[in-house]
Amino acid sequence: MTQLPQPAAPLRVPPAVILGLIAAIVLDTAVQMLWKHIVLAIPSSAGLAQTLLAAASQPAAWILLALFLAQFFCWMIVLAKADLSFIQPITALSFVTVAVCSVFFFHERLGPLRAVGIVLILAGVRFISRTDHRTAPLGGHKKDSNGECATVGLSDRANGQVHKDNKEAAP
Amino acid sequence: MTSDRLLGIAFVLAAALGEAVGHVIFKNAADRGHRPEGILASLRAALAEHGHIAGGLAAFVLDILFWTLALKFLDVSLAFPLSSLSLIMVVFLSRLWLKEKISPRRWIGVALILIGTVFVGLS
Repeated sequence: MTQLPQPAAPLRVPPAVILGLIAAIVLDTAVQMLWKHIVLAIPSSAGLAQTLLAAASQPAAWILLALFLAQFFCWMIVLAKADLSFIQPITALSFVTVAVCSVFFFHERLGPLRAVGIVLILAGVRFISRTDHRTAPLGGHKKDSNGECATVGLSDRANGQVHKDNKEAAP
Repeated sequence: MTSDRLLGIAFVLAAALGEAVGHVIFKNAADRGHRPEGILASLRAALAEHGHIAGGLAAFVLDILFWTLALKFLDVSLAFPLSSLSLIMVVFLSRLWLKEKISPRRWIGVALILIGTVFVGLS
Protein backbone atom coordinates (compact mmCIF):
# COMPACT_ATOMS: atom_id res chain seq x y z
CA MET A 1 0.00 0.00 0.00
CA THR A 2 1.48 3.31 -1.05
CA GLN A 3 1.75 6.06 1.49
CA LEU A 4 0.32 9.40 0.57
CA PRO A 5 2.68 12.30 1.36
CA GLN A 6 1.70 13.75 4.71
CA PRO A 7 0.83 17.45 4.69
CA ALA A 8 3.23 19.54 6.74
CA ALA A 9 1.98 20.11 10.27
CA PRO A 10 0.74 23.70 10.73
CA LEU A 11 2.83 25.88 13.04
CA ARG A 12 1.48 25.58 16.57
CA VAL A 13 0.66 28.77 18.41
CA PRO A 14 2.53 28.72 21.76
CA PRO A 15 0.35 28.61 24.92
CA ALA A 16 1.97 31.85 26.13
CA VAL A 17 0.61 33.59 23.02
CA ILE A 18 -2.92 32.19 23.53
CA LEU A 19 -2.96 33.22 27.21
CA GLY A 20 -1.59 36.64 26.29
CA LEU A 21 -4.33 37.13 23.67
CA ILE A 22 -7.10 36.27 26.18
CA ALA A 23 -5.57 38.64 28.74
CA ALA A 24 -5.36 41.36 26.07
CA ILE A 25 -9.09 41.09 25.22
CA VAL A 26 -10.14 41.21 28.90
CA LEU A 27 -7.84 44.18 29.54
CA ASP A 28 -9.08 46.02 26.42
CA THR A 29 -12.69 45.70 27.57
CA ALA A 30 -11.96 46.79 31.15
CA VAL A 31 -9.96 49.79 29.89
CA GLN A 32 -12.77 51.00 27.59
CA MET A 33 -15.46 50.65 30.30
CA LEU A 34 -13.39 52.51 32.91
CA TRP A 35 -12.36 55.19 30.38
CA LYS A 36 -15.94 55.94 29.33
CA HIS A 37 -16.92 55.96 33.01
CA ILE A 38 -14.24 58.59 33.72
CA VAL A 39 -15.26 60.82 30.78
CA LEU A 40 -18.98 60.55 31.62
CA ALA A 41 -18.24 61.99 35.08
CA ILE A 42 -17.02 65.23 33.44
CA PRO A 43 -19.68 67.84 32.50
CA SER A 44 -20.17 67.90 28.72
CA SER A 45 -19.93 71.71 28.87
CA ALA A 46 -16.20 71.42 29.74
CA GLY A 47 -13.72 72.48 27.04
CA LEU A 48 -11.15 70.12 25.47
CA ALA A 49 -8.22 71.03 27.77
CA GLN A 50 -10.55 71.12 30.79
CA THR A 51 -11.82 67.66 29.91
CA LEU A 52 -8.29 66.22 29.72
CA LEU A 53 -7.30 67.78 33.07
CA ALA A 54 -10.51 66.68 34.77
CA ALA A 55 -10.03 63.12 33.46
CA ALA A 56 -6.41 62.97 34.66
CA SER A 57 -7.29 64.27 38.15
CA GLN A 58 -9.84 61.54 38.86
CA PRO A 59 -8.69 58.74 41.20
CA ALA A 60 -9.98 56.21 38.63
CA ALA A 61 -7.34 57.52 36.22
CA TRP A 62 -4.71 55.73 38.38
CA ILE A 63 -6.54 52.43 37.93
CA LEU A 64 -6.64 53.15 34.18
CA LEU A 65 -2.88 53.76 34.26
CA ALA A 66 -2.33 50.43 36.06
CA LEU A 67 -4.41 48.68 33.38
CA PHE A 68 -2.30 50.39 30.67
CA LEU A 69 0.87 49.01 32.29
CA ALA A 70 -0.67 45.52 32.38
CA GLN A 71 -1.60 45.93 28.69
CA PHE A 72 1.94 47.10 27.89
CA PHE A 73 3.66 44.09 29.46
CA CYS A 74 1.07 41.76 27.96
CA TRP A 75 1.83 43.23 24.52
CA MET A 76 5.61 43.10 24.90
CA ILE A 77 5.49 39.41 25.88
CA VAL A 78 3.13 38.41 23.05
CA LEU A 79 4.87 40.59 20.44
CA ALA A 80 8.19 38.89 21.20
CA LYS A 81 6.55 35.55 20.28
CA ALA A 82 4.37 36.30 17.27
CA ASP A 83 3.81 38.59 14.28
CA LEU A 84 2.00 41.88 14.87
CA SER A 85 -0.28 41.28 11.88
CA PHE A 86 -1.36 37.96 13.47
CA ILE A 87 -1.94 39.17 17.06
CA GLN A 88 -3.60 42.49 16.40
CA PRO A 89 -6.64 41.20 14.44
CA ILE A 90 -7.37 38.51 17.08
CA THR A 91 -7.49 40.98 19.94
CA ALA A 92 -10.05 42.88 17.83
CA LEU A 93 -12.60 40.37 19.17
CA SER A 94 -12.84 42.88 22.01
CA PHE A 95 -15.12 44.91 19.66
CA VAL A 96 -17.88 42.46 20.59
CA THR A 97 -17.15 42.42 24.33
CA VAL A 98 -16.92 46.23 24.47
CA ALA A 99 -20.20 46.70 22.54
CA VAL A 100 -22.07 44.23 24.78
CA CYS A 101 -20.62 45.76 27.96
CA SER A 102 -21.44 49.33 26.81
CA VAL A 103 -25.11 48.33 26.46
CA PHE A 104 -25.00 46.71 29.90
CA PHE A 105 -23.12 49.45 31.80
CA PHE A 106 -24.01 52.66 29.93
CA HIS A 107 -27.32 51.70 28.28
CA GLU A 108 -25.93 52.62 24.87
CA ARG A 109 -28.18 51.68 21.94
CA LEU A 110 -26.85 49.08 19.58
CA GLY A 111 -28.87 49.71 16.42
CA PRO A 112 -28.92 47.33 13.40
CA LEU A 113 -26.49 49.50 11.35
CA ARG A 114 -23.92 49.54 14.16
CA ALA A 115 -24.33 45.79 14.80
CA VAL A 116 -23.94 44.96 11.08
CA GLY A 117 -20.86 47.22 10.94
CA ILE A 118 -19.29 45.36 13.87
CA VAL A 119 -20.07 42.00 12.21
CA LEU A 120 -18.42 43.22 8.97
CA ILE A 121 -15.37 44.33 10.96
CA LEU A 122 -15.22 40.89 12.60
CA ALA A 123 -15.49 39.21 9.19
CA GLY A 124 -12.59 41.39 8.05
CA VAL A 125 -10.69 40.41 11.19
CA ARG A 126 -11.29 36.71 10.41
CA PHE A 127 -9.84 37.15 6.92
CA ILE A 128 -6.86 39.09 8.22
CA SER A 129 -6.02 36.71 11.05
CA ARG A 130 -6.00 33.39 9.17
CA THR A 131 -2.25 33.05 8.72
CA ASP A 132 0.56 31.40 10.64
CA HIS A 133 1.53 33.18 13.82
CA ARG A 134 5.02 33.90 12.53
CA THR A 135 6.12 34.58 8.97
CA ALA A 136 9.63 34.91 7.54
CA PRO A 137 10.65 38.47 6.68
CA LEU A 138 10.44 39.36 2.99
CA GLY A 139 13.48 37.95 1.16
CA GLY A 140 14.51 36.23 4.39
CA HIS A 141 15.56 32.91 2.79
CA LYS A 142 19.03 32.55 1.34
CA LYS A 143 20.88 29.57 -0.13
CA ASP A 144 24.15 28.71 1.59
CA SER A 145 27.18 27.17 -0.10
CA ASN A 146 25.76 23.63 0.30
CA GLY A 147 22.64 24.65 -1.54
CA GLU A 148 20.57 24.31 1.65
CA CYS A 149 18.04 26.96 2.47
CA ALA A 150 18.96 28.94 5.58
CA THR A 151 16.48 31.23 7.24
CA VAL A 152 17.94 34.55 8.25
CA GLY A 153 15.24 35.02 10.83
CA LEU A 154 14.81 36.82 14.09
CA SER A 155 16.39 34.13 16.25
CA ASP A 156 19.51 34.05 14.05
CA ARG A 157 19.95 37.77 14.29
CA ALA A 158 19.38 37.80 18.03
CA ASN A 159 21.72 34.85 18.63
CA GLY A 160 24.51 36.38 16.63
CA GLN A 161 24.88 32.86 15.22
CA VAL A 162 24.45 33.82 11.61
CA HIS A 163 25.92 31.35 9.13
CA LYS A 164 29.24 32.46 7.63
CA ASP A 165 27.72 32.76 4.15
CA ASN A 166 25.01 35.01 5.52
CA LYS A 167 27.31 37.50 7.22
CA GLU A 168 25.91 40.38 5.23
CA ALA A 169 22.57 39.84 6.93
CA ALA A 170 24.01 40.32 10.43
CA PRO A 171 23.42 43.71 12.11
CA MET B 1 -24.49 63.94 11.03
CA THR B 2 -23.85 66.47 13.82
CA SER B 3 -20.62 68.46 14.11
CA ASP B 4 -20.06 66.82 17.51
CA ARG B 5 -19.99 63.43 15.84
CA LEU B 6 -17.61 64.60 13.10
CA LEU B 7 -15.28 66.07 15.74
CA GLY B 8 -15.45 62.83 17.71
CA ILE B 9 -14.63 60.77 14.59
CA ALA B 10 -11.67 63.08 13.83
CA PHE B 11 -10.34 62.40 17.35
CA VAL B 12 -10.83 58.64 16.83
CA LEU B 13 -8.77 58.81 13.61
CA ALA B 14 -5.98 60.75 15.36
CA ALA B 15 -5.97 58.25 18.25
CA ALA B 16 -5.99 55.28 15.84
CA LEU B 17 -2.94 56.63 14.01
CA GLY B 18 -1.09 57.11 17.31
CA GLU B 19 -1.99 53.57 18.35
CA ALA B 20 -0.92 52.02 15.02
CA VAL B 21 2.44 53.80 15.03
CA GLY B 22 3.00 52.84 18.68
CA HIS B 23 2.27 49.15 18.02
CA VAL B 24 4.64 48.95 15.07
CA ILE B 25 7.41 50.69 17.04
CA PHE B 26 6.97 48.20 19.91
CA LYS B 27 6.97 45.24 17.52
CA ASN B 28 10.23 46.54 16.10
CA ALA B 29 11.70 46.69 19.63
CA ALA B 30 10.43 43.19 20.50
CA ASP B 31 11.96 41.74 17.31
CA ARG B 32 15.35 43.21 18.13
CA GLY B 33 15.06 41.91 21.67
CA HIS B 34 13.91 38.40 20.67
CA ARG B 35 15.76 35.72 22.66
CA PRO B 36 15.10 31.99 22.32
CA GLU B 37 15.88 31.35 26.03
CA GLY B 38 12.66 32.76 27.42
CA ILE B 39 10.04 35.42 27.91
CA LEU B 40 11.89 37.37 30.64
CA ALA B 41 15.12 37.50 28.64
CA SER B 42 13.14 38.71 25.60
CA LEU B 43 11.42 41.39 27.67
CA ARG B 44 14.73 42.62 29.16
CA ALA B 45 16.36 42.80 25.75
CA ALA B 46 13.34 44.59 24.24
CA LEU B 47 13.34 47.16 27.06
CA ALA B 48 17.02 47.81 26.31
CA GLU B 49 15.86 49.42 23.05
CA HIS B 50 15.45 52.85 24.70
CA GLY B 51 14.81 54.82 21.54
CA HIS B 52 12.03 52.53 20.38
CA ILE B 53 10.37 52.41 23.80
CA ALA B 54 10.41 56.23 24.09
CA GLY B 55 8.97 56.67 20.59
CA GLY B 56 6.31 54.03 21.19
CA LEU B 57 5.30 55.59 24.52
CA ALA B 58 5.05 59.06 22.93
CA ALA B 59 2.72 57.65 20.26
CA PHE B 60 0.55 56.01 22.95
CA VAL B 61 0.38 59.24 25.01
CA LEU B 62 -1.06 61.00 21.93
CA ASP B 63 -3.43 58.04 21.53
CA ILE B 64 -4.61 58.48 25.16
CA LEU B 65 -5.23 62.24 24.83
CA PHE B 66 -7.14 61.93 21.54
CA TRP B 67 -9.15 58.92 22.75
CA THR B 68 -10.28 60.77 25.90
CA LEU B 69 -11.62 63.56 23.66
CA ALA B 70 -13.22 61.03 21.28
CA LEU B 71 -15.14 59.50 24.22
CA LYS B 72 -16.36 62.99 25.18
CA PHE B 73 -18.30 63.19 21.89
CA LEU B 74 -19.11 59.56 21.04
CA ASP B 75 -20.66 56.40 22.51
CA VAL B 76 -17.97 53.85 23.32
CA SER B 77 -19.95 51.32 21.22
CA LEU B 78 -19.46 53.68 18.25
CA ALA B 79 -15.92 54.91 18.92
CA PHE B 80 -14.36 51.53 19.74
CA PRO B 81 -15.32 49.70 16.49
CA LEU B 82 -14.08 52.77 14.57
CA SER B 83 -10.70 52.32 16.23
CA SER B 84 -10.37 49.17 14.06
CA LEU B 85 -9.11 51.61 11.43
CA SER B 86 -5.83 51.35 13.34
CA LEU B 87 -5.72 47.67 12.22
CA ILE B 88 -5.72 48.81 8.60
CA MET B 89 -3.02 51.36 9.40
CA VAL B 90 -1.04 48.57 11.12
CA VAL B 91 -1.32 46.31 8.03
CA PHE B 92 0.10 49.10 5.84
CA LEU B 93 2.81 50.01 8.38
CA SER B 94 3.87 46.35 8.93
CA ARG B 95 4.13 45.93 5.16
CA LEU B 96 6.14 49.11 4.61
CA TRP B 97 8.25 49.17 7.76
CA LEU B 98 8.55 45.66 9.24
CA LYS B 99 8.55 44.07 5.74
CA GLU B 100 5.93 41.50 6.80
CA LYS B 101 4.19 39.78 3.89
CA ILE B 102 0.51 40.73 3.41
CA SER B 103 -1.48 38.02 1.64
CA PRO B 104 -4.42 38.74 -0.75
CA ARG B 105 -6.70 37.28 1.94
CA ARG B 106 -5.58 40.01 4.33
CA TRP B 107 -6.32 42.71 1.77
CA ILE B 108 -9.90 41.36 1.55
CA GLY B 109 -10.03 41.69 5.35
CA VAL B 110 -8.84 45.27 5.11
CA ALA B 111 -11.69 46.04 2.65
CA LEU B 112 -14.31 44.39 4.92
CA ILE B 113 -13.12 46.37 7.95
CA LEU B 114 -13.24 49.56 5.93
CA ILE B 115 -16.89 48.90 4.92
CA GLY B 116 -17.73 47.92 8.51
CA THR B 117 -16.34 51.14 9.94
CA VAL B 118 -18.37 53.16 7.43
CA PHE B 119 -21.54 51.35 8.65
CA VAL B 120 -20.64 52.03 12.30
CA GLY B 121 -19.75 55.65 11.55
CA LEU B 122 -23.16 56.20 9.96
CA SER B 123 -25.06 54.41 12.78
